[in-house]
Amino acid sequence: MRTAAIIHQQICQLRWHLLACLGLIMLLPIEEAAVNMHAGAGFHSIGMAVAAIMFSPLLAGLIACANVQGDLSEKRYIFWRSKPASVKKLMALKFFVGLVLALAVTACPIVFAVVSSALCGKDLDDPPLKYYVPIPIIVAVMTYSLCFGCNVLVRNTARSWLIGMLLAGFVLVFPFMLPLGFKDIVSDVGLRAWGFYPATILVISVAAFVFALYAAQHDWHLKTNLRGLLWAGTGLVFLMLILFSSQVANIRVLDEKEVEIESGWRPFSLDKVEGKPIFQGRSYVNSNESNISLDRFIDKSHPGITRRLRRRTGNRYLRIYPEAGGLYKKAGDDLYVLIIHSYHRREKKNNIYEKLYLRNYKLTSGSWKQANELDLSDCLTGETNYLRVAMRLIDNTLVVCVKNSFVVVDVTDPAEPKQIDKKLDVLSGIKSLRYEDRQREFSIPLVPVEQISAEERIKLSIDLRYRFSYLDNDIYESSIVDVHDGKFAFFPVSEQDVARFDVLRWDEEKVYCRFASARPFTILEGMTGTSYSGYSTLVEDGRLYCHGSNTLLVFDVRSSSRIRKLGHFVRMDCHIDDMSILDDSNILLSARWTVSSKGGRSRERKKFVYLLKNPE
Amino acid sequence: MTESAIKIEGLHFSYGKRHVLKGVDLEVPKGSIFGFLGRNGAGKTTTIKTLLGLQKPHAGRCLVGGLDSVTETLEVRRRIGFMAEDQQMYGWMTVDRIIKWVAGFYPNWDDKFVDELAEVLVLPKDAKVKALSKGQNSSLALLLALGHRPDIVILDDPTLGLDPIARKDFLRHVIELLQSNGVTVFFSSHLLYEIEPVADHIAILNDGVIIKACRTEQLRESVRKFALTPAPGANFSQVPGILDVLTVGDNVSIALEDCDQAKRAALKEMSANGMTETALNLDEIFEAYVIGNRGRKLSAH
Repeated sequence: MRTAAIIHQQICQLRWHLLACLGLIMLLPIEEAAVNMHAGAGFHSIGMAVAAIMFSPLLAGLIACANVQGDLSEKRYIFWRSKPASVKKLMALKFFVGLVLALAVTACPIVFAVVSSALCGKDLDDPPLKYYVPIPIIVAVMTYSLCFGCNVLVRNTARSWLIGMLLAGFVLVFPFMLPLGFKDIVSDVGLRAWGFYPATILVISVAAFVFALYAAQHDWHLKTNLRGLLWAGTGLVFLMLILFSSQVANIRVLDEKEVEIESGWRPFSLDKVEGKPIFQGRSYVNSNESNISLDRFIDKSHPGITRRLRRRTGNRYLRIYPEAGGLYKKAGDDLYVLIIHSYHRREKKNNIYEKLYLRNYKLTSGSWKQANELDLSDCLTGETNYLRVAMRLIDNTLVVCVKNSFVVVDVTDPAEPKQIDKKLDVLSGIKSLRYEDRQREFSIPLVPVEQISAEERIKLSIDLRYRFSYLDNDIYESSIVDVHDGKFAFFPVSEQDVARFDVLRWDEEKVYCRFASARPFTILEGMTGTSYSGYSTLVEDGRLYCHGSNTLLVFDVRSSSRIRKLGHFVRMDCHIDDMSILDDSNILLSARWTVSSKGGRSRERKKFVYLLKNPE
Repeated sequence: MTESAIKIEGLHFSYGKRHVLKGVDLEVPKGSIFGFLGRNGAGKTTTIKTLLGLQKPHAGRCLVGGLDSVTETLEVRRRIGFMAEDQQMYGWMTVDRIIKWVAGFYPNWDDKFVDELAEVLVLPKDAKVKALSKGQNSSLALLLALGHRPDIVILDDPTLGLDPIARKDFLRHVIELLQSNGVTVFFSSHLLYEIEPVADHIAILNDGVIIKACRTEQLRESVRKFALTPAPGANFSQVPGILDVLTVGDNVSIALEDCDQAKRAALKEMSANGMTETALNLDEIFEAYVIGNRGRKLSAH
């Protein structure tokens, strides 16, 4: 058998299919490149090239079907089979030629991205190709093999492709239902994990290939009934949807409690005092393994700590930090809340900040009564139209960061907070992590707060630097830093992924860090989560909790090599406001439903507190 | 005893519950042009597929040039040139390309011979296969079957779908190219008149069994038709070898196999006023064997 002639024949046989697949897969990258060129950024594509690779499993299946379809029609089948060639060898040759061509089609967007970005001097690894490329390639090999096997058996291009894709989908989803420990379709399947799951996919591919050889050798021909196939396909799709949705949304709701709406638009905060959650500064949340109840300590007639204050007096406006709650402190049976108030006036379109106070309120007879205040207005240095406030309560020490200054307050007696330190203009500001920061070691200035431990200083420094959201003031009780066996790691969340940075060492002035790994969001996570970067993230006991507008994701972050998703909670019809991790590891979420009124103006209708089971 | 190019012994094959071949026994002498006759669905193609090793027999065996078609499939296929009925090839290939592609399967492919064949068959080498006429398509298939100079050529209804002129043209080529070279030709067809001029041996397959296999001339001589008016009380069932009885008014037409003087005398006795004897052509012989009533209802006379 002359191999070259067979290879030539296969390439010729597939040329139109290859061109069609190439056109399909290159459409998005070329469009992006054209748009980039029009925008003056040069003819290059990265994002769409990566997106196009995701379609390669579908196209690989098409190529597989086209690869043998020409040989399997009844009469042509007799034509080549009557030749003195080993059917297995011939089919194997066809298989591998087609596979190479399918992978070549897959490689085109990658090559285009590499070459075009190099020519335009663009940074190729953003988004990082290594996250996205291996998974579709492995899956493409499987879809190719399955479609090839199906076509040898069924001998009908469309039906074979359909059956092959259904089988591939089933293979991808089914292991998540088995007790094999699969949780995360990204980190368990691909990235650098070369574990059981990708091995399973490859085994299935090899099995499909071997099956195809035997089916061809023994002239197995399954005559399919279109109606039966459609029913079976629908059933399988339904089963896969169930399996997949259970994989995607696998966090169990233990209880949900509708809360009476009292105060209109407010972020519904969940804070904690001595491990006990407080909802919206009004009620304790009591919970056990199966239900939650709210124990109200503020009278219904009382509007609540943030609501009772007038927000505007003439041209003077009040802002409250934290906007979604407060820092609570107990002294004996008394409950206090510590809040920052700033006052600004409007000048043209700018806010000019003039005054800043730390105020404490005491729970007295079902309402909050102001107990004391500290004037922190001298921290308002530098530009007056910008303010960032952060607070952290560590035992009896409250650190208040205002712009680039900080104040340390002793709150051993929360009724009488005592300022014990103040340093102006010693902090550095917020900084975004850029791609370059993943390539090299970098340092973060250590906050010069001497009254807290080194561990707390490192955590505060990292949080101050990299933890921020649309509220500008979310650094309070929780942190994005994980401390385990004396090692520090932190987990910033971007729109594309969750990254892990390890703290390598620190000295009196700086903390030195380096990128360790990242776990990109899947398309589905991206779709359901809106954007995780603008919302709240926290790390507790080796787990990263990250919520978007209607999604909560839980990741296992203890491994230094990979971040693994453990759970996913989705409520498409609600907006998650806040979360809190309970002592028994269950999760509390506060969320609200918003529905449009007849006039189209959005208005709030309901709010809920959810008790969720922390995934295993 | 002549040596066999093909030998089939007790061949059985079923498609599911449908028993297609029910014990086929056949010997094809070397160098002969062997006509393999049978109606559509008689099992001709199934027999050929088994000969080529494309399917395993459920019982029996096929020897091609002394080689078992199941255990030595590739060697069997190397020795055979095969042309299937209504053969489909890769339409997008050119004639030249498909010749090269098929040549890849045969170590003994004779390019010079193929060039000569292409000239004889008037095949345009740069034309695409899908652009060829049916006649050209058959010529190409024949060329591809002969390019490696096989000892045995199997033609399975090769003229199916061709118009009468193209069919005659094709058969002329077959005779010219094969008869003089000592190649054994196993020619399957349901069209008797196309086999009659070329075949020197005939086998008739009906309902999965060979009902007649002999030399063509012998078959012609042994099967006769008699026309007579039966005498009162005539019982034709007493005469062995009656293939077909056709009654037209008072007259009866009888087809008789293995005709000899004893059978002639027996028929004459049953005739009221003498009888006439005529020879049959292959078409009529086939009809008598395959669709004749084989003596049924004879007692009515």
